[in-house]
Amino acid sequence: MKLFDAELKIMEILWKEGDLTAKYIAEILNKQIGWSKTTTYTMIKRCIDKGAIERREPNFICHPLVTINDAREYETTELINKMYNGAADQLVASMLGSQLLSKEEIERLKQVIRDLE
Amino acid sequence: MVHMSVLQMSISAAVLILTIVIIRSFTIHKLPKITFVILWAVVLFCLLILFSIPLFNAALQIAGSVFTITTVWVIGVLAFAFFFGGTHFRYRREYCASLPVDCDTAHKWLKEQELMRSLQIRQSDRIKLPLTYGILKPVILLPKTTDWQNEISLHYVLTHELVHIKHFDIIIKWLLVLALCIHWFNPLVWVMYVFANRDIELSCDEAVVKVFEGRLNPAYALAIMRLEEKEAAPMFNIQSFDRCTFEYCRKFLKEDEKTIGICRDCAEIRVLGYSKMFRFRSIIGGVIIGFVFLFAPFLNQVLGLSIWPFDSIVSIGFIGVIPLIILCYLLPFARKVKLETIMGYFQQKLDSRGEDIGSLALGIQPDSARGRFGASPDVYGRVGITVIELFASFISGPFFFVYGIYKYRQLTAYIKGYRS
Repeated sequence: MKLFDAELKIMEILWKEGDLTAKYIAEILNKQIGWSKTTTYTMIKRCIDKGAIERREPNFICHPLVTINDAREYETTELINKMYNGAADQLVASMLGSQLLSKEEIERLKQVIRDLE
Repeated sequence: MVHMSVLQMSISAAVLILTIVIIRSFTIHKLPKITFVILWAVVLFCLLILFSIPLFNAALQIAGSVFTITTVWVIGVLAFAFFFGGTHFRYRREYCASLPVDCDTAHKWLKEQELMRSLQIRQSDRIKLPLTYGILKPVILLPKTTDWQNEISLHYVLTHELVHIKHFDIIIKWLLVLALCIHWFNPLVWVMYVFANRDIELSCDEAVVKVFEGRLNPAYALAIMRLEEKEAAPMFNIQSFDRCTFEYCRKFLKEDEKTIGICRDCAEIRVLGYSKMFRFRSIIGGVIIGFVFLFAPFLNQVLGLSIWPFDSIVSIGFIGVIPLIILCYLLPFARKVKLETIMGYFQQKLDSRGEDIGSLALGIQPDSARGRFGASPDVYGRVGITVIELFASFISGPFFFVYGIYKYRQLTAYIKGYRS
């Protein structure tokens, strides 16, 4: 499922804090990024329509149906398909090649691969 | 004869607009562009205040009767108001759900500006081009894909938007929309709408180039500026003026090309298309005009003179002219749809090959999978275009009968001048 930035913003809060009421989300976002209550509710509604959030009563509690891993996986797949013709190993190779990863991170990755084997 | 006075008003407005269009065509490269913005403001004042009051009076006087031209007018006003308002609010909702910008260059720039109103810079992943919205609390909205590292282009874009904010261009644009809604039946008000929007952009560019004078190559500045930016208010921005929008061409137009709104290479192709379309539409146009004028008195008899408040000669004119105007003005709609759809389609193709000049200039990397607001033209889109084209051919006959000849001659002269 494609989540746009505005929708991700709401999901991020839910992923971090767990289930919240819509009212509370609106308060947080108003302080954080200056959204009006209407804007937040519109975006929450859009997430509900997309099936990313479930509305629970009482008090319009928002429960995330999409996990952060789902969202990450979607975006990564998009990137791999768009830039690496679907070859995931090339993405890893280009990350290793461009020195985006520190030594510790590479060590950790090695560990992950060893665990897989 | 209330109708006659309304008609007279509309005709005087038309004459005024026509005069300015003629003056404009001769002096566009000689006078500062702000001149025309002021001239349009004067026309707007006439249209909104002097000419609208009799219109409303007429509407009130005839409110009691069952079906008149006035009813048609009121329905038209409501329809256009609904169309513009609805589109605006739909887009506005997206703009409101924007995020703060995390970019030092932008923040530093913002601090340097002096503006009485509070100004914000925000970003969104739902737009492809920079825009401005809000009158009292203006917001500059930048696409997420903006190249935040490129200080020069960022400054240009921000300054361009700031000039719009400082000049209160949104208000003028809204007044233009208002005038358009009230005088929707007047073809020349539509002409004014297009030209005035274009002049607002040109005068904005002029101001920006002055700000950056001596600091950078003006040609480069213009190239960046000429990214068709959209303002929140008018959804009817005809985009084809600064950039060649003929089919897939994305060239920025040179000063002399701007008058025609098409680059030289494309003009040749277009003329080929025109000559075919020209014949087809003129025939249909002639048939429609002939039909209307031949059968108008007959129709009037059938309708009954009690419904039609004019004597026979006037009503022949009216029956002839009104459908003509209405039909003509469906054409720009159809063309707008066609342009948008085709542009979207080719934009995707260009994006996937990374050849979009506009995007390159700004460092924008449009997300081809998404399209603007998720609407991606596909097979349905192309079938739609064909249907619209066909429909447009039929209904735009009378319009083409007048406008087509003019455009055709203009283009052929343009190409001739280019070759010799």
